[in-house]
Amino acid sequence: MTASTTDAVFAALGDPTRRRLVESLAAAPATATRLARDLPISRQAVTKHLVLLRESKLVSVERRGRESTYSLRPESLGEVTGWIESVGAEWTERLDRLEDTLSGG
Amino acid sequence: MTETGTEARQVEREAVLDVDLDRAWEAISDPDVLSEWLADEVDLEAVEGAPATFTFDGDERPGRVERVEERRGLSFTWEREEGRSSLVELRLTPCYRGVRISVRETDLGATSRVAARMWATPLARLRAVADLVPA
Repeated sequence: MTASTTDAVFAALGDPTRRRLVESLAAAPATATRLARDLPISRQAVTKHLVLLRESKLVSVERRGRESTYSLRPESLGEVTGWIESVGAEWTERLDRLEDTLSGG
Repeated sequence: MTETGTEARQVEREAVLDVDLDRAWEAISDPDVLSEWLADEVDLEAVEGAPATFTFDGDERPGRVERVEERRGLSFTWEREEGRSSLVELRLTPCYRGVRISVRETDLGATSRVAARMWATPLARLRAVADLVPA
């Protein structure tokens, strides 16, 4: 993934905390406690965000010992970036056509 | 069809149009002008709740007008691929050089899931659609 498509995925996540979580997990799998250490919110709040990320299949979870470990699912990110790239390109084209239409009169 | 990453599928684009607000509004609300740039053919009436049709390469895709704010914005849902709906929000903002148009498209997931959350009244429908869009 290039830096710009990563930015696009992160922007599309729509919530700065979830973006931070995805960034952290991109570096390494982690527990909710570990993730919460780097954020100014409670572990419970982190878990709520992780639930949403699991629902959209960007993150998977594994039970190891006392606490669950969360990991990023890169193949899901690939599906997401594919959509973002092709839909984004479509809109760029559409707006170009719109500008042509309006300048042509 | 997968629900993978639905929440994250959102794109935004914008451009500044060198026209006045009336012309910009026409460009996003008049089906004849929409047919010049949005799709090969657009059959749409800028009325909340009105069904709309978008034709791409001979394929007719159904949709519905969700929100109309005269000379400010227009939102509609459409099936960009069969069985999968998304929300398109067009917004106009007058600016120094003309009118800024911003567009945001958000994947809503399987059309059946979207339809199941739609209720009878337009207001409830708007709320249901808003719920599906990440904050």
